[in-house]
Amino acid sequence: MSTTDRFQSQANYFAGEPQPLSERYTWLCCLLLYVYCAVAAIAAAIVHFINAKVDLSVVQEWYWLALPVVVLLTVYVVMSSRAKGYVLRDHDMSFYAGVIFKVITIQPFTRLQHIEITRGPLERLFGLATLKLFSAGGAQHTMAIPGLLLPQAEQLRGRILESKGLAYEQ
Amino acid sequence: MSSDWQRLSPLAIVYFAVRGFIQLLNTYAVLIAGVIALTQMGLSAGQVVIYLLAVLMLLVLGSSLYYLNFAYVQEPARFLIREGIFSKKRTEVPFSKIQNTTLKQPFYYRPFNLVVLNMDSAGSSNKEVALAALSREKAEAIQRSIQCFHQGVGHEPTVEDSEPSASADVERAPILTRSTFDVVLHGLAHNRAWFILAVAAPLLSRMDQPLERLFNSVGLDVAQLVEHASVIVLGGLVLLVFAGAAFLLSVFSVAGAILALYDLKLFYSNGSYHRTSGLLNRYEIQMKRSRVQTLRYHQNWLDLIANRLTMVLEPFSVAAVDNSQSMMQKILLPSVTHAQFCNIARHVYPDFDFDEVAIHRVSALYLLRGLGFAVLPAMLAAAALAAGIALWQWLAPLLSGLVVLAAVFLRWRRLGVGMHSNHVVVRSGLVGQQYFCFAAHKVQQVKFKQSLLLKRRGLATLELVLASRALQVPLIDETLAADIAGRCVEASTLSEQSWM
Repeated sequence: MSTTDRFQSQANYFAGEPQPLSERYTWLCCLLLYVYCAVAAIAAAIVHFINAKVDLSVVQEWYWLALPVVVLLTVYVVMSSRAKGYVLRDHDMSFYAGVIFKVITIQPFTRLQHIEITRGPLERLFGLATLKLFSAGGAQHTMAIPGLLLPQAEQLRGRILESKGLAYEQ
Repeated sequence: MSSDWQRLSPLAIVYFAVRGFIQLLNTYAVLIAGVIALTQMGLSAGQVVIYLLAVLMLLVLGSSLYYLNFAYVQEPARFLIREGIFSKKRTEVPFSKIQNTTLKQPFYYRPFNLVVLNMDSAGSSNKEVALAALSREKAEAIQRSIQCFHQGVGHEPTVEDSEPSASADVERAPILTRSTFDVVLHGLAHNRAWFILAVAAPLLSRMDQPLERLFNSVGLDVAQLVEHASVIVLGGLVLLVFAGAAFLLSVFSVAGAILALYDLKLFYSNGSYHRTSGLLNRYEIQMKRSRVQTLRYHQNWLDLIANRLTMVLEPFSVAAVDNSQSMMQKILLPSVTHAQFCNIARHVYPDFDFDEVAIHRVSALYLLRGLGFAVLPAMLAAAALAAGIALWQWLAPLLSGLVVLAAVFLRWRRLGVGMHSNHVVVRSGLVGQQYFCFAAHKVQQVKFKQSLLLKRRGLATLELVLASRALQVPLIDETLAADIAGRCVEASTLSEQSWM
């Protein structure tokens, strides 16, 4: 029981407001959504032109639905990108995500294998970067924090490296 | 230590030939099967023998050349290995990268008391480093020097390496031995026959052609039987066929268990566990105590009847880290009793008492969720599949719904999590049960999941990511989840102990 008391006396891991991601990340997500929608629309058009026999009367009847669906998707994308955030503490980092299904991931620095900053072409266009924290938990459990401004990402990486907790230094 | 290149004993040729043969079979299995099928007709026995001899000659020639080109150096902190007939390759294996060493004694080495030393290295996991045909003393000396190197890195170099006699005494007394009865029990309880039965039953309708041929070959006329025999006789016949298949699979499973696990002994010395076993090939697996990531308590429904369980000491899985196929050797202990599990668990984690753990069950909301996300879809799918078939269109959804509901209920009954002195225990299972026990400081990452609905009810889903596996406990009290999550993160941060 004594161990329980000791641990509960420590700071609460879910207190504190998460830092939101950059505003530009929301724009990036919206752009990506519209690109996907455009690709889907173009694919549908190509199918129609190649095979004119495909009966599109149903689609023509319901095409006005496209606009509200895109609007709804936009609302969701904006909410989900704004729901993401991170908390940097002395010994660990937490990542918050999810609109309806909320997930908080905590990564202690002592269990980190290495850190990476990756930037895709669209991210470079927006001046953004993704910070990736790799642990021995496996590839699907790599903590990726998207939507950071490049200097911000580099600063975060620096602070994590300074924390001297990295696994290989033990 | 001399740094001259050393050759293996010439008997290593046998090992290389066998390994080459197995590799050949694995890579060209389809090709070989095709060639055999093509040439099956026009070949006399003599020709077959000639071809086989030719293959054998080639194998021996290849392995001899490979043997001549294989050399290694043992330096104070690393191995250098030179190999390859046409394309030469040089491998460097630093001792610091060696996670695990395994001694294996194939049956053809037993008369000479030679062994094969396998080294699992952290970096190059898909490449197996093996030194064949070493004398046992030599292999154990190499193991000792690797161990000493590791201990030297951990602490200052101490006198530990100069007292092998003391450790030898410890090795005399095994922590656990398994009798042949235990091994047979394990083979019976963990065979796939039951699974095959369950899967094969629905395929029965497609089996009539091959079955008919089988019966005809035995001298039974199926058509006549079907006409004259009653349903009961036919059903009995089908049952008999399946029972025969199940029996055959059980025999295979038991034979496999005896081959791999016969005369199993678990030792502890110098901070590591050693397991020796095997009927023809002797295997020896080693794992450092500090490298044990999870203790697995696995009891399937047959174990439940026999009141035994399988205990597994899991190291971190290379597969999880770099996606390669090679896995570190687990130490599996078959058919142990609950008391034995508790004892060994206390040996691995000295301040952990398995019987003291209070498991917190999962909320009953899990049943409701299962109703919506598992039972209903299963019923809908069954209804769609059986639509229009008289009687079945009602029976199929009902039956599948009941089966899935039973599964959800059984799962809910098993799911749970508990803590005892900085060790976490996660329970799951369906009919049987399994527990995963691990030290809180081995946790790599923690995930705390909560939907808006769960938040209102004060529930949360907790996922603990380890280097060996990720464990998830759904729908537990949110303060409990937060407490366990916090304690794991705290232990990981505070602990001076490495996770590895």
